[in-house]
Amino acid sequence: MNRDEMLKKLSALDFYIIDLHLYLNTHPTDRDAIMKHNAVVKEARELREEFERLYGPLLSYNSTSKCPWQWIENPWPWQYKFNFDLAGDDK
Amino acid sequence: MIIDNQPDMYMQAAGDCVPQETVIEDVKLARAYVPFEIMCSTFMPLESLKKGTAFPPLYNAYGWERKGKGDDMYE
Repeated sequence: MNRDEMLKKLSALDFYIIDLHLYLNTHPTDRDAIMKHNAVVKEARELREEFERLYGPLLSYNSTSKCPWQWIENPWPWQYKFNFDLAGDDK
Repeated sequence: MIIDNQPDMYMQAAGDCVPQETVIEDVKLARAYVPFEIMCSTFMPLESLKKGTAFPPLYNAYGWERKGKGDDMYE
């Protein structure tokens, strides 16, 4: 997986976690949903660690950095050039 | 294109799963009731991101896709 593919997959996993999180707030005894949620959280955590190891921090806090300090490198995660393009990708 | 791992995890559970509550008890007159959603299956993560929901029953719930995707969804 290249950088954009990793970031796209991580974004998808994070979105999935948020949606299951909202569902679980109103369905706290759905064991199957909790298992799915936990599995995806684990997968996203591993992918985030791998991404940050290769390409630098995704968060301004709670991310480790090499030397020199990587957070001040452009582009930042909220800038257009940092992100992948979802257009035309149907799967 | 990303290939998601473990696609089986997102598929429907065995048996006939109805994605909502089918019996509402203790109903009273002149009250509105909304059946509770029940998770049967979800979209794969990347498909969820593109569709804006992980839950198939919530996607295109009002049928805007049939009228012409994108053009008239805000009308």
